[in-house]
Amino acid sequence: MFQLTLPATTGSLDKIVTFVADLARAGGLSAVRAGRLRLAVEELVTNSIMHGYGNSRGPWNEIMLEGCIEPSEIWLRVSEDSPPFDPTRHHTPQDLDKPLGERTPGGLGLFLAHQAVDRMTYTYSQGRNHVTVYIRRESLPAADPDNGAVPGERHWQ
Amino acid sequence: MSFTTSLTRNGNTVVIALDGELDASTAGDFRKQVDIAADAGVERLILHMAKLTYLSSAGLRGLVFARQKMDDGVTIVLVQASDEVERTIRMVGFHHSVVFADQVPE
Repeated sequence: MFQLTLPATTGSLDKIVTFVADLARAGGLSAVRAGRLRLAVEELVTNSIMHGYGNSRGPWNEIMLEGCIEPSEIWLRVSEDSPPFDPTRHHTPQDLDKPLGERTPGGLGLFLAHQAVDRMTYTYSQGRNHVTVYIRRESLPAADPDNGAVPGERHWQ
Repeated sequence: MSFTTSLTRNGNTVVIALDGELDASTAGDFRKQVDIAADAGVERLILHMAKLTYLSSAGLRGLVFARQKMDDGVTIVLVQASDEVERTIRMVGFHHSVVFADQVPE
């Protein structure tokens, strides 16, 4: 299990990106899929910081990331205590067909996050939002005949 | 996260080369370059993306800004965008408002 807790400020984004990259590398994700996992997490976290906490945000708020490498996929959960918000129900902008000259800014982050991963789930419990993204581990290395484990998993055991 | 841009003007064209990651922390730098390009009064804005490794929603907002900042007659050409960057741009429907190219057009 990978775990990281940071202040809910944009200053935490660099560390979050590094955390996601480490998880993706340990799970053997391709560069493309690692980039998609990063995109999903970065957009979710940015949305929480900018809109979830909004004007009340500050270092006293904390965002927790937990990640795990399963045999067939990686999941990563973002937990924070801003007001309840389900990003799985608010992710399709209404103006995707409009020319750029007529677009209103914003609204694309959660859409990108949703499109970047294979699944996204949401729960609200104990006063916290929990958003979990799942991404398949493609091109898994052959199982090690000695112990049956997938080689990429050793890094986090 | 690193991001650098360089801007060159050649006749009626401005080329902005993007190197690195265009996201919330770097989109402001991109917008400054777009402001310069818009003031130049050119007919074509080329965004050279061969070295652009990452594009988030903040980067996409930068492209919206570019489209809205440049005059309507200005063509925006995205050169050598990676498959992933192009995928993101197409996913949000921006490909109707820009042109993709493999090389800097003559």
